[in-house]
Amino acid sequence: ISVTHFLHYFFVFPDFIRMAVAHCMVHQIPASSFMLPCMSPNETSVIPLTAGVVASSPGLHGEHGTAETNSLVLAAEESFLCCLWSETHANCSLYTAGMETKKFTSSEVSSFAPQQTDLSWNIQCWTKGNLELFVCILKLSNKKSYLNGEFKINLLYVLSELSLEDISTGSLKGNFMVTPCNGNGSDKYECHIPSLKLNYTYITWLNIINGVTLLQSPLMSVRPINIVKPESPLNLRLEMTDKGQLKICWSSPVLTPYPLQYEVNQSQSSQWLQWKTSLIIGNKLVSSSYLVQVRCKSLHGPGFWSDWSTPYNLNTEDVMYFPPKILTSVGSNVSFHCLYNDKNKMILSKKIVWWLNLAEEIPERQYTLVNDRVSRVTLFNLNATKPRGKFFYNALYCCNQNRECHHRYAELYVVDVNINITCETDGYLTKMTCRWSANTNTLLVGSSLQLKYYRSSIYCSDFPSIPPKSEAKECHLERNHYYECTFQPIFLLSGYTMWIEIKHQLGTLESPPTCVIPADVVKPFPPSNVKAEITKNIGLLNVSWTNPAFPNSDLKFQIRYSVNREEILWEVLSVTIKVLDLCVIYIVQVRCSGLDGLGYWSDWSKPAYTTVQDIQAPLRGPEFWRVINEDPIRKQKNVTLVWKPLMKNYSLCSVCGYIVKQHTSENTTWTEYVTSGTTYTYPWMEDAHTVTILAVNSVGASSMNFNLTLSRQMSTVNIVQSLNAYPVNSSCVILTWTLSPQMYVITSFVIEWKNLNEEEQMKWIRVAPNISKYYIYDLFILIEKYQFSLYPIFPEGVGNPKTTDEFIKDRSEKQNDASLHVILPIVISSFILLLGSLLISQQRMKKLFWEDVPNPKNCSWAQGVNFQKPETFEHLFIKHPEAISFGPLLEPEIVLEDISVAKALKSEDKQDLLAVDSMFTTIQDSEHDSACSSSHFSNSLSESSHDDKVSEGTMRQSNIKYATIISNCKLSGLYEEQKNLSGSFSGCFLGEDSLVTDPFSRSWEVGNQAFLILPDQHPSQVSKTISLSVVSSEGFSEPSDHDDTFSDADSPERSLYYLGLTSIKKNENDIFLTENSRVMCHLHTNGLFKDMEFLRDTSSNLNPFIKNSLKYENSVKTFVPYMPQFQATTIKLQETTETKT
Amino acid sequence: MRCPSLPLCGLLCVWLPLFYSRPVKIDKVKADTKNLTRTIIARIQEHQLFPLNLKINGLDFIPGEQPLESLDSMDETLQIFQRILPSLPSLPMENVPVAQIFNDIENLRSLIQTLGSHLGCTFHKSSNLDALGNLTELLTTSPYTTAVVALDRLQKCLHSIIKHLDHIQSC
Repeated sequence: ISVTHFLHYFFVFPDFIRMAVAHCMVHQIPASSFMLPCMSPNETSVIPLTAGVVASSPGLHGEHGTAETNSLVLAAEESFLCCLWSETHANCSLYTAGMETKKFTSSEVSSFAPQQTDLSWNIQCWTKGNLELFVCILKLSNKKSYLNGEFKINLLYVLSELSLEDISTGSLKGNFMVTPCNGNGSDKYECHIPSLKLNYTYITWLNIINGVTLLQSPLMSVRPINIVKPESPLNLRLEMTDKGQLKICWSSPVLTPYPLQYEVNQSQSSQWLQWKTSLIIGNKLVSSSYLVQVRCKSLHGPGFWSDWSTPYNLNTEDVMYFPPKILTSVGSNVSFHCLYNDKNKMILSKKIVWWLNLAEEIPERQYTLVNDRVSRVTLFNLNATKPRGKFFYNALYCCNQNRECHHRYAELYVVDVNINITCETDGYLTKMTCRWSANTNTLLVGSSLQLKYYRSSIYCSDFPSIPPKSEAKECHLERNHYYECTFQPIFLLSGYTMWIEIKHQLGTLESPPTCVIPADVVKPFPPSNVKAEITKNIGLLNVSWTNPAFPNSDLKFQIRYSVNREEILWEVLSVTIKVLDLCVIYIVQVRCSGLDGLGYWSDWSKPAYTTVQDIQAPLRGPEFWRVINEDPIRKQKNVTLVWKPLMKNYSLCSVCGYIVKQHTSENTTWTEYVTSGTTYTYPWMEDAHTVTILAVNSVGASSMNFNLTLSRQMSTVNIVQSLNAYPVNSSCVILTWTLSPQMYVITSFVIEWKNLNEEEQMKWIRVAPNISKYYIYDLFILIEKYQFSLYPIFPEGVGNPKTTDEFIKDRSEKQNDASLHVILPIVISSFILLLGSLLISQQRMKKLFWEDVPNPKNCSWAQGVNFQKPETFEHLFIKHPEAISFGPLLEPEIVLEDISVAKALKSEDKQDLLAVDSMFTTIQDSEHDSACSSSHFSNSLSESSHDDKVSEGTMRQSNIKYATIISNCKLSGLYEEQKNLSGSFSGCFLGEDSLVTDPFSRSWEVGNQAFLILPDQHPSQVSKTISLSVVSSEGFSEPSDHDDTFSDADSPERSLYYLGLTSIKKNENDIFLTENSRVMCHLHTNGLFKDMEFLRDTSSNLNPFIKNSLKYENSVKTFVPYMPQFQATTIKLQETTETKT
Repeated sequence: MRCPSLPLCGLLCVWLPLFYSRPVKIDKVKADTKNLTRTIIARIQEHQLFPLNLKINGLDFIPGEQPLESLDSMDETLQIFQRILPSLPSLPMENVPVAQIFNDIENLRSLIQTLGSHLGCTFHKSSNLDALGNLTELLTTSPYTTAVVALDRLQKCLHSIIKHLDHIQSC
C-alpha cells in the first residue's frame, strides 16, 4: 500500500470518506501486513473536531462503527494523527486515553496530502504457532527528517469476551493493558501479548512517542484465532505404500485448533496443495537429489501460511528400507520393504534375498514381491531383541541373490511389553494401590512409561482391550523398583482396565491390558481383639476375635498357633484346634480373606497368648506304698506313705497338693492335706485301715485313686512261694516268683528292692497281679548286694512279703578276696597294656571319627557297630547282633578291676579332694554324649593315679571326669568340667550320666554355679563305679532302648529328674562340698522311683531353677508338676547332712 | 439432516459397551448389590455421630422416609443422594468418606440398573431432582442438621434396598 493509493481513495471516493468521518472506525487487523501513516501535529491541530451521535451501523467490509455522544475533546496539540488504511478503506479516528473520540470530518480529511504524512509504519501481526503469543512487528518505512531520535512504542490492548458488535468504547475505558514494543535499533519494533485467549476479541492501539511528540493509532481489533501462523510441518520423510509407491509424509504441527492445508514445494519447482499429510510421488527413483519442503495454513478461514519446513533431501541411496526402523512388541508381526539399487543398476525384486543380523537367511516364503523393484519381507511372532553390546536391535539386510549385500540395514527393535500389573484394595475399601515393575534391561534407552486406564461402570469384560479413550495415572517409583499408583476414592465394582504405555522416539507400545475390579482384590484388615485360652474340662484351644469392619461379605479365616518359645513353629489351621499339650503357653494369630477366594489374605492379627491354668482335676491319685518303721521307745509302728509324683498326663496342668485319706474298719475317716513332698508319716493305731491318696489342683481332687489297706492280720498271710532275681545287665534285673495256692484275691504286687551296701532308700514298684515275672529297670551295680521283696496286695491288706537276697553270687566275692593280692600287679600291668592299646586305637579312631563318631566299643549307642569296615556311614550304624554276647566273657575282669582301683583310691583320697575343689567352679556338661564317656576310660584311669595331673584340673574332659569320681569318695557326686569341651567329643559318664537326656541337659546351662550330683554313688562304692565303666566299655552298658524311654516325655516310664541350683562361692573351702548347695540330679530308669534326693537352699534357688527350666519347653514338661517335692527332700537332706557331720 | 449417519453411530457407540461386557449372572449382581449396600452402611455407621431418634422437620427434600420397593424408586432416590452428598458441609463429618460414598452410590446405581435391564426396566431421571433447586443454599441454612439427617436417611434407604432386593420381581 502506498501513499498514492491512499490519495486515490480519498479523492476518487468522496462518499466513502464522508462515511468514514461519520463513524468512529475500529479496524480489524488483517492476516497480512498493513500501513500506518501519521501526520505532524501542526496539521492536525487545525483540524476542527466534530461531535455527533452515530448509531452503530454496519460499515464497510470488516468494519464496525462506534461513536460516543458529547465526546468533543480537543486533540492534543502535540499529537500526531495516524490513520490506517488498506486497499479498501481508511480510518483516521483518534481516541484519548479516556476512550473519548477525536475524529475528522470529510472535508478536513481531504486536506490530507501525501506529502503531509510525516511518518509511515508497515505493520504485521499474527498469533504464534504455539497459540500463546500475539506478535506485532512494526517497520518504519518512511519518516521526515525532523523526526529524529528513538521511538518509544507501546501496544495498548483491552481483552473482551464479547464480539466486536457488542463492545462499546466506554466499556474499554480504563481497562487497557500496556505492553512495550522492543526495538532492535534498526527501525523495527516487536510487540508481544502473552497468554493469549484465542477466541476473545482484542481491541488494540499503538502509542508512538518520539521525543515529546505522541503519535496514536486508531483502534484495531483482532481475534487471535483468525491470524494464526502455524508452526511448520514436522518429520518430513519418505515412505512406501503397500503397492510399493513412494510417498512423502509429514506430521502436522502439534497445536492446530483447526484442519490445515499444506503446500509441498519441490526443488524442481513443482508445487502441490494438499490437505493430507502425505503425497505419493510414484515409484520412480530419481538418481539426482532434490529437496522437498512443506508449509501449512488453516484449511478454512483466515490465517497465515507457516514457514517452510526444514528441507528434506530426497537423495536416493543404493539401498532403501521402508521403514528404516521399526519398534514393536514381542509376538507381533512386522514387514519391511526394500529398494535395491546396485551401482546405478536396479536389482529386481525377485532377486532380492533378506538376511537377519548377517547370520540368518530369512526363508523365501516370507518374501512378497510388491512390484518388480520392491521386495517385502514379513517377520512373524517376534522374540524380544537380545542386546548385543551396544546394539539393541536386529539388523535386517536386503541382499542380492549372489550373496552380495549392501552395508546399510534396517533396524528392528522388539521389546517385551508384558508388564504385570497387580492391585490391592485396602481394608477400608477406599483405596486401590496398583504396582508394576518394568525390566529396565529389556526396555530401550529413552523410553518413558505411563500407566493408562479406563474405567467401566461395573465389572470387567472377558477380554480386556485398549479403548480409544483413556486416562493417565501418575505412578511413583518405589525403592524396590516397583511403580506404585494409587486410586482413591475408588469405584468398588467398576472394572479398571489398565495397561502400560511405553513411549519412545521410534514409536509407542502398549502392554497387554488387564482388568481389575477393586472389590476382587481386597486385602482386609486382620481380625482384632484376638483372645486365646485353653478351655476348662474339655481342654481345647479356644480362639475368639472380632471381624474387621470391612468387607461386609463373608470371610474365611486362618488361625495359626504355636507353643510360645524362642523358635516359633507355626501350625496353621482353619478349624477347631485340638492341641496336644494343654499345659503350655500358646501364641495364636488370626487372619482373614474373602470367602469367595478372591483378594488377598489379611496380615496376621496381633498375637494372643494363652495362660497355663488347671484344665481338669487330676485324673487319678498317685501310686503309693508304705514303709513301716518300729519306734522302739514308744513301742509303736509308724507308717510312712511314699508316693510317686503324678505324671503330667494325669494332672492338667498341675498338682498343688495331696490329700491322705484314712478309713478305719470302724468306719471313721480322717484326712490330711500334704502340700509339699511325697511322703507322710503317721502312727499305726488301728488294726486295719485303708489309705487313699488324692491329688489336688485348683480345679479339684482326683476321682480315681489307689487304695492300700494296712492290716496286721493280713500281714501274716504268706502266699509267695519263691522269689528269684536274675541280673541281665547293669540296668536290668529279672524277678520271677511263684505263688502258693491260696484263696485270696490279689489286686497287685509291690516289688521293693534295696542296695544293701549303700544307705540308700528302698525303691518300689507296683505291678499287675497276673504276672509272675518282672523286669526291673534300674541302675544295678552288679557287684553290690541287692535285696528284693515281693508284697502281695489283697483288698483286705498287704500280705507277707517274700524277700530274696542279693543276686551277686558268693563265688565272685570269694574270688575277689582270694586273688586280691596276687592279681593286683597283674591288673595294673594289664591296665597299662590296655591303656596303651586303647590310646593307640583311640588315636587311630580320632583321625577317622573323633569329631563325629565315638569309640564304638565304649559307646552304648554304638554297640555292635562294625568299625572294622567303615565303608559308609550307614554301615557304621548297623547294630551288631552279637554285641551283647561279649558280656559274660568279661565278667571276671570286672571284679579284678574293682579291687585294684578301690585300693588305689583309698590311698589318694586327700589329694583328690583338691581336685574336687578346683572343679567346683565347673558345671555338668550338657552336651556330652551320655553313652560315650567310657571311650576315655583307660586314659582317665591312668591319670587318676597321678595326683598332680588330677589336681591341676586342666586335663582333658574325660580325665577330669574320672578324677572327680575318685576324689568324691566322700562326696557322693560326680563333677565334670563344662568348659573343657574343645576337641572332646564325648564327655559324659556311664550309667547315671548317660540318662541326662538332651532336653534336660539344656536346663543345666544356666550358669557356672550349677552342679550335677549323682547321689547314688556311695562313698565306699566309688571304685566299683569305675569298674562298671570298664564293663560298659566292653559292651555292658545299658540297653539301647533306654534312649527311647527317656526321650519320650509323656511316657509313664520316663525318668524323673530333680534339679536345683545355687551359688557355690561360700563352699569353696568346705570339706563337705558335695552336700552343700548345688544341683542334684536323680536319675532313674524304667519308671523305677528313687527317692534319695538331696537338696539344700532350695528356698532361694528354686525360683531361678523354675525360670530356667521354663526356658526350655521339654524341661518344663518334666519338672513343673513335681515342684512341691523339692521342699520335702530338702528337709531330708538336712537330716542326712547332720547325721554325717 | 446434514449427517444422517451420525445419530446412528452414536447409538451404536452407546450400546457398544453392553456387547463388550460379559454376560453377568443376575445372582452375582444381586449379591454384589447387597454387599455394596452393606459396605456403604458400614461406612456411615463407622463415623455416625449418634443414632438419630428425633423427627426433623423442614428437610423433606431428603428422601428416606418412604420404603423403596421398586428398582426405579431405588435409582431415583440414589440419584437424589448423589446430588445432595457433594453439597453437604463437611464440618460435622470430617472423617466420613463422602467422595467414596458418592462413588459407591454410583456403582450401586449401575448394579440396580443392570438388575433393571435384566427385568426389562427403563429408568427415568428423577423428577424430584429438578425440584431440589439450589441445594447449596438449602444445605447451608442448618448444615449440621442436614448432614446428620442426610446420612441417617441414606442409611435408611440402603436398609430398605437390602430388605426389598430379594423380592423384587418387576421394575
